[in-house]
Amino acid sequence: MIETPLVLGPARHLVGTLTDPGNGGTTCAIILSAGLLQRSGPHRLHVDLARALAASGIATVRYDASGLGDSGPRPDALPLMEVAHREPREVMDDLAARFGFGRFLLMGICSGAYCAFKAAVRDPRVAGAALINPQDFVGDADWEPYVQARRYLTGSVLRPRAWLNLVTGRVDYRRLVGTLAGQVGRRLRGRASPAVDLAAGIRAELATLRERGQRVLFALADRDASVDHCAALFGRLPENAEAPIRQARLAGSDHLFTRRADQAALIALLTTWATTGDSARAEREEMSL
Amino acid sequence: MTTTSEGLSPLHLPGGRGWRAACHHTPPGATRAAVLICAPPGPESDRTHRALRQLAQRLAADGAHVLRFDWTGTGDSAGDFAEVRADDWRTDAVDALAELLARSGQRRATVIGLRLGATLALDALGAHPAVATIIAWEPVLDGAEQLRQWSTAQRTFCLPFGFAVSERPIAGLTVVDEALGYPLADALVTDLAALAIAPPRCRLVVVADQPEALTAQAQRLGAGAARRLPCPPLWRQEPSESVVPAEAVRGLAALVAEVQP
Repeated sequence: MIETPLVLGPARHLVGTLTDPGNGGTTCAIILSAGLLQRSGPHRLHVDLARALAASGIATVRYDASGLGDSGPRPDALPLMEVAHREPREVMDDLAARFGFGRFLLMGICSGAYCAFKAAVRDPRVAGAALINPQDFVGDADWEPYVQARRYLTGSVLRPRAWLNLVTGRVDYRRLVGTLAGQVGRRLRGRASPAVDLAAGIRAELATLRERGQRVLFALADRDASVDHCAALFGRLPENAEAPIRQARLAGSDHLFTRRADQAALIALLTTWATTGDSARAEREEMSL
Repeated sequence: MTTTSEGLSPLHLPGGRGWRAACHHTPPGATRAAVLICAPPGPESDRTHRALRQLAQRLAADGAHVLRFDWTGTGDSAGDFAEVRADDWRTDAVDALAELLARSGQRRATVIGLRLGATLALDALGAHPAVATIIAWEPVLDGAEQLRQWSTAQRTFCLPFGFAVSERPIAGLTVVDEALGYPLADALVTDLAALAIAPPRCRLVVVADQPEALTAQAQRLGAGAARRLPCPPLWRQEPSESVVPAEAVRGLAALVAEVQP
C-alpha cells in the first residue's frame, strides 16, 4: 500500500491523499469532507477507512473540500449547493485523467453524504454512494423544525425516559413548545408538511440511481438525528427488491463514531459494502429501502 | 503539479514508521524567516487544524517558509495512534525541522507549538542549535496534565449518551482507554506521564489567553518572555463550531516578525 499526497481540481486548489493498493484496479473510492473537518476525518476515521479499503484492494482518495482543511477557496463564486455536487465530479475527472480510474464509490459523513448523493445523481461514473448519517438532504429552513416536531410526536411520547426528562427539567421547553407550535400553525394555515414535496424529490433522485444500477447505502448511527431525518423523508421506507439500495443501522454510535468500537463497525460495514456489493443478486438479499 | 494555487505543497517526509505527512507553505516573495508549526497530536488535532493552517498561510504571506506536519500515528502520517511512542514524536520534530531548513535555505528557525505540540517541541527541539525561538502557545505543562485533560474530556463526552467510561490506573493516574476517538495505549500513557519539560536553551516566549495561566506556564518553563494573546480555547470546541481565531493569528504573526533571527 502506498500513500501519495495530491493536488487536485481544475484550479489546483484542492489537497488530497491517494491510498493505493498497487493492484492496478480501475475503481476508486472517494471519501468526502465531513462537515468542517480536514480530510483525515473525525478522530482520523477517514485514514483508517482508506487504509482498510486499500487493504481490501480498492484505491481510495480523501480530499479536503474547497475552503476546508488544507484546500484553498474556489476561484469561482459558485453557490455552495452547486459546489456540493460539482466538486466531487471535478475530482473524478482529475483522477480519471491522471490514474485511469473509471468507476467511483463516494462515501461521506453528514454533509459529505449530501455531496455524495447529489454527485451520484448527476454522474453515472459513480457506481455507489455510501451516505453516512445524512441529515439535511433538502436545504429548506422549514425542514429541521419539521423533523424535530415529528421526533417529539412519533418517538419521544412513547419513551418513558423522554417523559422523565420532561418532568425533571432536562428538556429545552422553549424549543419544544416553539417547534410544536410552529407545526400546529402550519397546519392551521393550511400549509402541507414540507416533507411531502421534499421526499418526492429525493425519491425521484433515488429512482434515477436505481434505474442506472448505482448503489446507495444509508449507514445510520442509531444515536444520531439522521435516523429522524431519513424517517421524516421516507416514512416507513418502501421495500424494493430490485433496488440496489440498502440501509444499515449502527447500534450505539453517535454522529461522528467517536468510540473506537463504533469506528471499527463502520469501517467493516463500508469495506464489505465496497468489496462485495457488485452482485445484483447479493444486493437483493440485503435490507432494502 | 504538487503545489496548490496558494503555494501550499503537501508532501511526505520519509522515515519514522513509513512517512510523516506535511505541508510546506512557500512565501510569494523574498524569504524572511522559517517557521515550524507543531500541532497538538491526538484529540485536539481535529479542532485546531484549520487555525494552524490559516496561521501558516498568514506567516507565508509575511515572507516565511512554513512547515506543518502530522505526528506519527496522527493525521495523514503513517502509523497507528495505538502503537506510537513519544520517541516517534521526538524524531518527527527533528526531521520536520531539517526538512524546513533544507527547503527554506535558512540556518535557523522559529518553532510555534500549540498545547501538547508546544510541550513536544520544547522536549525535542529545546536544545537544537538551529532553533532560535520557541513560541509555546498555551503549552500543556507536562504529559500527566494532558492525560488528565483527555480523560476528563472523554468522561464529559460519554455522560449525555450514557456510554460506559473504560479507564484504568496507570503511571499513578486514572486514565481512560480512549479519548475522543483516539486509543490511549499503556506505552504512550507511560511515555507521556514521564514527560516533563526543562527550560530550553533557545529563547522561549509563552503565549496564553488567561493571565493566571500565562504566569504559571511562564514560571514553570522558565520563559524569557510571556505574552497575553486573546484566543478562545479552540482545542476544546466541537469541530463543527470551531472558528479561526483571527486576532490570535495576527498576534502570532506579529510575534514571529519580532523574534525572527
